[in-house]
Amino acid sequence: MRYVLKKLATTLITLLCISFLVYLAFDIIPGDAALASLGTDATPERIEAVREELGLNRPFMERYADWLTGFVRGDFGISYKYNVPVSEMILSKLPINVVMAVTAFIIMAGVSVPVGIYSAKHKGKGMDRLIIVVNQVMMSVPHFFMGILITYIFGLIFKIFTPGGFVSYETDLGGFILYMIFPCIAIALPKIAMSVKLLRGSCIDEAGKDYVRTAYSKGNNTSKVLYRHVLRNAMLPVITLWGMTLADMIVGSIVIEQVFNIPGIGRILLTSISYRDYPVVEAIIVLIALVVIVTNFCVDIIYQIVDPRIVAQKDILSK
Amino acid sequence: MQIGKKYSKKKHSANLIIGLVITSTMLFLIILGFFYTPYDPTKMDSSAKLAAPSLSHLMGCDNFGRDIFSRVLKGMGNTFIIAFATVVIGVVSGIIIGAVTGYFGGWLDEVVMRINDVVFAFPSILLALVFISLFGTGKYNVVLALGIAFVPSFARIVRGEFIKYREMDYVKSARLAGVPHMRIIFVHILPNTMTVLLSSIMIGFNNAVLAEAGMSYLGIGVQPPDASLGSMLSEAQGYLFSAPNYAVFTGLMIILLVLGFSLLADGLKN
Amino acid sequence: MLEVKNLNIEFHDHDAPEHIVRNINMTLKYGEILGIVGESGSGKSMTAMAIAGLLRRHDVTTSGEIIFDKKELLSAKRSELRKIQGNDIGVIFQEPMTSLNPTKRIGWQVEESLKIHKPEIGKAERYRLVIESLKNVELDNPELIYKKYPHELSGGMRQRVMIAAAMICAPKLLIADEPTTALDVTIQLQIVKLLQRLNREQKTSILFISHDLSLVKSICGRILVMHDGEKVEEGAADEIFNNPGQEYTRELINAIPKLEKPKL
Repeated sequence: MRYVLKKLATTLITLLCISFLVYLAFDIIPGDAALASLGTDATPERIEAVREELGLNRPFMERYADWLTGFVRGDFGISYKYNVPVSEMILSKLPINVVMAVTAFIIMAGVSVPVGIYSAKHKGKGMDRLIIVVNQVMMSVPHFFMGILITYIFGLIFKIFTPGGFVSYETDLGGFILYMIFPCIAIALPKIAMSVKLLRGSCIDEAGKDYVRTAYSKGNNTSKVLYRHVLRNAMLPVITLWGMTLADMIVGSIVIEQVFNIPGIGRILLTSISYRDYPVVEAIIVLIALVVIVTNFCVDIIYQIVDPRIVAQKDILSK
Repeated sequence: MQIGKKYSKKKHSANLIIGLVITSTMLFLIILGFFYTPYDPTKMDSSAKLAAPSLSHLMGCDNFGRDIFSRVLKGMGNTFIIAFATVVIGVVSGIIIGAVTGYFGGWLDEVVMRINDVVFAFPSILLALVFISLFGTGKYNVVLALGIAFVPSFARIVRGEFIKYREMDYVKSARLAGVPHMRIIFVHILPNTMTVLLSSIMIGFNNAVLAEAGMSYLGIGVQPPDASLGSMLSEAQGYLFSAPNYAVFTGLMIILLVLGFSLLADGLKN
Repeated sequence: MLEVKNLNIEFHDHDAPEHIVRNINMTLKYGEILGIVGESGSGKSMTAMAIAGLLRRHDVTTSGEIIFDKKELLSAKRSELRKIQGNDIGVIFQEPMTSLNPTKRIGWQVEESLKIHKPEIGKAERYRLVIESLKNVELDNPELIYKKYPHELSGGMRQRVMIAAAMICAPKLLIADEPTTALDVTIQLQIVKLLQRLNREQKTSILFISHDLSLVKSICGRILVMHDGEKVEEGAADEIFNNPGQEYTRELINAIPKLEKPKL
C-alpha cells in the first residue's frame, strides 16, 4: 500500500511538471491569442486591448493556475482559430483514438502471448524459425506503411472495405467496426512482433532456471510447469514493454488516422499545429500525457502484483 | 523447450551476416545517392507520369513523372542524415548527462533523473510535435526535436553502466591513486560501456528512422522539394491503385534500412 | 529399495559426445543414508538427477537400469515417472536462492506436490499438513512463513522450505544434491542434523550428494566415492575414512582442512 501511495504521489508530480512545462513552453514563444485572433489588420492599440480583455497581461503563475484549474474541470480554453471551446473540439474525437489504441492493445496481447509461448515451446523447429523471421521483418515495418499495405491488399485488391470511406459509429456501428479493425491491426502488428520476440526469449530464459527443475521434481508435467511457473515470471519484461506500448499506440493512432482518413484527434492536432492554435495543441498534448502517465502508473501497480520482489527492491534502492 | 546451444549460436552469426549485407548495401546506395542519381530527382517528365518499373526507370515514375529510384536514393540520404544527427545529439548529451549523474550520484542525480523520467514518459514523436508546433517545421527542427526526445533513453543506459562501474575495484583504486574524475569517466569507464551503448545506438537509429518517416509522412518533417521516404509515402498513397509500385518500393527501403540495423544490433548483442 | 545397475550417461550437447557417468552400480536400503562424494564434474550430480528422473532426455543418452521400488525408472514413460516424482522421490538442490519460484508464496510451493499427487485431500487438511511440514523442518511461525515470498527468507530458511516441500508427500527417498554447499557453516550443520532427524523419525532413505567428505561422514552410514564418472570406492563411512583403499580417496581426505592448534 505504501508503494502504491508513493507511486501515486510521483505520478501526480510528474503530471504537474508536464502541464507546467507545456504551458510555459507555449507561453514563451512569440505570437499569442491577441495576434492570432486579430490577424493581419492588428494595430498595437487593438492588440493591447484584446490582451487586456483576454487576461493575457496578468502574471504568468496566475494564468497557469487558472488554466490548470480549468483543465481539471474539463475547460481547456477557447480555440484561437475557431473561437469555440477546445473541449468541444476534442472530447468528441478523443474516444476514437482511445478505442483504436485499446483495440490494438487487446489484439496485440491476445495474439502475442499464444504465439510467443508456441514459439518458445517449439524452439528451433521449422514453425519457430518462420515466426522469428516474420517477427524480425515485421518489427522493421513502420505502422503507417503497414496501414498503406493493408489498404492496398484488403481495400483495393480484396475490396473488404472502402479505403478512405470512414463510417461513423453513430450512423452504422457494423460498418464502423469493419472499417476500424484494419487500422487497429496496422497499429498492433509491429508491436505483436516485438512482444512475441520478447516473450519467446524470456520463456526460454526462465525455462533454464533452477526453480523449473524443482517444479519438475515435484511431478509437474511440461504444460503445468509452463503455465504455473514459467509464464508468470516470463511475463514480467513483457508487461514493462506493454506499458510503454499503449502510449506508443495512442501516438500511432494519430499517424494511422491519416492513412485511413479517420476524423480523430490527430487531424485536429495537425491543423492546430499549422495554424499555431496553441490552446488546442496544449490541451491535446497534456491529455495524451495524462493517458500515458496514468498507464505507466497502472503498469507499475500491475507489475508489483505480478512480481512481489519489486517492493523490496525499490525500498533498497531508495535507501 | 530445452535445446543445446549450437543452434542459437549459428542463428546469431547468421543475423550478423545478413544484417551486415543489408546495411552495407543500403549504405552504398545512400552514399551513391549523394553523388549520383540516374535522373535528376526533381526533374519532371510529363510523358513518364506514373510509369511502371522498367529498365530505364527501375522503380517507375511518380505522379509528376520523376524517377522514383532517384528520389528514393535522395530520400534515403535525407532520412539517414536526419537519423544520424538525431542519434549523435541523443548519444553525446546522453553520455554527458548519464556519466556525470551516474558517476557522482547525489542530489544532482536525483533531480536530473526525475526530469529524465518525465521526458522519458513522453512518447518521442509527441515531444517532437510540441517542438515543431513551437518552432515550425523543417529538417533542422526535426533533428533537434527528435534528438532531444532521445536523450533520456541514452542517459538512462549510460547512467546504469556508470553506477555499475563506479563501485568496481579498479575505479576505486584509480581514484585513490589521484586520477582526476574526468579522466576516470572518459578513459577508465566510458570505453567499457561501449558494447552496451553500441547496440542501443543501433536501436536508437532505427527509432529515429521510423520517427522521421512518420513525421515526414504527416507533413511536418522534411518539406518539399526535398525528398524523404516518409513524405514520398504520403504522396504515393494517393496513387496506390494506379501505381502501387511507388508506395511498395518506398516502404521497402524503410524496412530494409531498419531491418539491417536491427539484425546487426541483434547479432552484436551476442 | 533403490538399485542402480551399470548406469551410463552420455551428453550430446557439444560436438563430441561426452561420457559423464560410467558403469555405476549402487544400492540403497530402506531407512539408509548413502553419501556420494566427488569433486565437481565427477558425475555425482548427474547420477542423482538420473535417479530423480530430471535429466533432459533430448541431449542425453543413458543405459543401464535404475530400479526403485521394483519399478525401472530409466526407461519408464514420462507419465509413469511423474507419478513417482514428488510423491515417492523428493529432491532438494544446491541453490536454495534460485530453486524456489520467486513469484509464488511459500505455502503454495510447499503444497504443490500434495495437489498433484493427492488431489483428494481437502483445502483445510492440506493447509494443516503444510503447516505441520513447515514446523517439522524447524521453522518458527509457520503460519507467517506460509504467506511469505522466497525473497523474504534467508538462505537457510529457504533450504528448510525446500526440504518441507520435498517431504510433504512423505517420500520413500529424498535426494539431497549438495544441499548445504551454498550455506554458512553453522547453518550447514543445522540442515544436516535436520536431515538426520527426518531420516530417523520418518524412515526416509536419503541419497546425500556432496563434495565435502567430512560432512558426508558425519551424516552417512555408507559412502560411495566418484571420480571422472566412475566409482572409485564404496564402503562404510568410518572404514573409508580411516582406511582409504584408493589414492584418490586419500587425496580427498587430505584436502579436508584440519583444525590445528594455533602456533604461539
